Amino acid sequence: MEIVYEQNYNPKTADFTPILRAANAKKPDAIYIASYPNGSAGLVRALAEVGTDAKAVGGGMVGLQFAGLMAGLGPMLNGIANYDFFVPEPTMNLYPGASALIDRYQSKVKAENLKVDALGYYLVPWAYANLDILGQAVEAVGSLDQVAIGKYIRDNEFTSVVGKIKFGKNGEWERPRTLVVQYQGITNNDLQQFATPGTRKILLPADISTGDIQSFNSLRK
Amino acid sequence: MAIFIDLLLNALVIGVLLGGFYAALSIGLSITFGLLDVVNIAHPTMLVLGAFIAFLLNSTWGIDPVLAGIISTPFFFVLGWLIYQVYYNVFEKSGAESLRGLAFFFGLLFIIEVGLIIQFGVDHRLVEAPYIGQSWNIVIGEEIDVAIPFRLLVAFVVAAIATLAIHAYLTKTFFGRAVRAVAQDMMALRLMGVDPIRVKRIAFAMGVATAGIGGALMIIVLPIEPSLGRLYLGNVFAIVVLGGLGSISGTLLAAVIIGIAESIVATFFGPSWAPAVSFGILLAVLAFRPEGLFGKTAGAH
Amino acid sequence: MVELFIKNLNAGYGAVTVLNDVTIDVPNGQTVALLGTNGNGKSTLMRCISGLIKPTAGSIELHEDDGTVIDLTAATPQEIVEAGVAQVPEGRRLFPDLTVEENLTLGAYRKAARATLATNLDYAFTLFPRLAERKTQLAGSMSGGEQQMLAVGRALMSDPRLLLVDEPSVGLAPILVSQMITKIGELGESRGLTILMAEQNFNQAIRIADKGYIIVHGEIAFASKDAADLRENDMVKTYYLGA
Ligand SMILES: Nc1ncnc2c1ncn2[C@@H]1O[C@H](COP(=O)(O)OP(=O)(O)O)[C@@H](O)[C@H]1O
Ligand SMILES: [Mg+2]
Repeated sequence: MEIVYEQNYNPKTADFTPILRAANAKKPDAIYIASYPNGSAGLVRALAEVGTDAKAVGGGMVGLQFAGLMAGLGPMLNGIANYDFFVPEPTMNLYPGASALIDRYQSKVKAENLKVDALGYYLVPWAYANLDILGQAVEAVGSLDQVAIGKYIRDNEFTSVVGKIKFGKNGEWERPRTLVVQYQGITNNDLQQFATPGTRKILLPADISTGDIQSFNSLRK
Repeated sequence: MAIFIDLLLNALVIGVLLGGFYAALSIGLSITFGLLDVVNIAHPTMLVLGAFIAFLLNSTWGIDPVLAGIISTPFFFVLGWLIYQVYYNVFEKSGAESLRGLAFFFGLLFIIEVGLIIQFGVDHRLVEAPYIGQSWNIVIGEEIDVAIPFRLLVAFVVAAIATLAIHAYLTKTFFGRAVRAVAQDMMALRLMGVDPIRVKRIAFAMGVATAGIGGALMIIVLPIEPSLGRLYLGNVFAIVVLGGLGSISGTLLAAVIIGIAESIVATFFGPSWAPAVSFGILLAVLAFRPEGLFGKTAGAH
Repeated sequence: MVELFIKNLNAGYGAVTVLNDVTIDVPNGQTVALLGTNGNGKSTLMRCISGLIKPTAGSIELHEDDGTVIDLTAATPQEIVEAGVAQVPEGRRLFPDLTVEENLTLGAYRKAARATLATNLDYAFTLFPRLAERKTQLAGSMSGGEQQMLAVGRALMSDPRLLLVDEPSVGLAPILVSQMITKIGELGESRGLTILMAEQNFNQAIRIADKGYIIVHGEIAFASKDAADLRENDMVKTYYLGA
């Protein structure tokens, strides 16, 4: 694989069209983007304004999972492939309790008018699982001895709202569970469409995939 | 070669448009800081407040963000009026404006920011408008076409109109000339039959009022979140100083220069260099013209 | 048109009293000299008349031909300008970063003067052709003499009836001093202005004055009967030589 263009951007960047043009000039097959929310949104807009002939676009774009940004960007997201942690696709049912958790979260946010992410798919199950595992470990160890708790977490497999969790040597999950999703079929800026299956097809991991990757431009109108 | 021309042309066009946007962010500060000597470091955060108001009007009633900005501008005028009233009575009147006045605006910055976090949370917000995400593609030749994002074009046009209107007001009207004189000699102004405090109050309110329309342009151009103002603090002060304190047209020109420099650098050398180049231009200009591009230094201040 | 009456005026800064029981009369169309060396209270009196500081006792009044009395004692500086009083302040106090023309235009801020802006501008340029040549130059970049012309021109832009001039000679070369004083004298005659001029250059001031006062430590030490009295009275010479 040959890298034809590689650049960093500054968090203050107000407009990303010059960057995308410069990248396009190198005629890349794929554009991998690692960005924080304002950069992610700026690049998605630049992609809508300038376009690209790259066949795959996306990667590690933080922020596109947020309810507010998804609704704000709407159809401009189509075709982008990006990492995610949890999406409302049917295969995600292998995570016991996750749907119930999300339901509870969404109705609480609505009822109490909380100023947090309106949908909560991205981080809520993971934050819940973090504490859940810690709770299970503390109960099993029977004390707050950190060394013992740490050892217990490393040595055992857990079940929580994100499925079965076992940590490997390096502290990461033994079997990676980060999703790669592709935005598809988004037609407007309505928030609720992101609460139903289909707008973010799971490409990876293969065992829970709900769609195949398609070229970037084939998903743009 | 065609590719180079294509990139250069686009970089220039985007640079000019971006410059207009930067001018909209800086023009209010050019009045309050450049003309009145009031170090309103809360200005960029007021812009963010303006952006959130545009967001609120847009997401609740579907009001076009530019219209939302026009609607909120009088609100910011009143806000500026009240802020100056407090600032004058507590600090300026007793000559304590320099350090404590700065602390006052620093405090204001955080009060607005925290208020926004409490009301809207820390998420990034966008507005919807038909022109956002669309661009006007002008084919010039084989492999050469210029894409003008409507989002930046709208910001540029509105900013240019606002800047020229403010410039005309300050140079062509009696009150405008008094605004330009007030920081130079308040006592002399009194002898002309002008109440300098009233002049400062209204001019400060005008400067703050630009946060209404400027904030709307901000959220049209980029996603916003409550702490965004602090990120742009350096830029807007740099533009006002580069243009020359007290010069509205200088601010516009400086903003366009910075816009072009950033977009050319982002296109040809990589975007991470853009801020360094902006501040490099500022330092280089100040080394040769300490008064900035259009600053006037006849006076012994 | 107007006569200025100041009666038993006391004024100062905070707890410090500077003016003590000052009584002065500037008759209609006359040029009156307020003489005194540095620090005796000339500028303080000028500031009182323009409303920049408030007297603690006494009164300041403008009497019009038809008998109307305008009480300026408690008026704001704006009201005083609107009543037709303009001042050329000590040290000129121009707006250094504005152009000559902008400085003049600001002088016409008074509502009554806005309509006649163009005529008054022409008049200032005829009076001081130098200013016409330097119209677009920044005021702060001009020479002392030119700045003084601009300060006088700016004050005239408000179409005043009473002109206060505070030490027009300060910081000017001797030849320019006498030109400037002559100009002010001519102004009084050609425009029928009532003028009160503070000066420490006795010699120059008495050339054009119709009468004069000498102020010492904030008190009127001498009031001349008329122009001749001002030029010949031994008291004046004593104070002048003492200066
Ligand atoms: N702003 C001021 N604050 C306090 N004292 C002042 C001020 N201006 C002048 N004085 C004092 O008032 C007295 C008269 O000063 P001034 O009216 O300027 O005299 P003159 O114009 O005759 O030189 C002086 O003793 C001077 O120190
Ligand atoms: Mg004096």
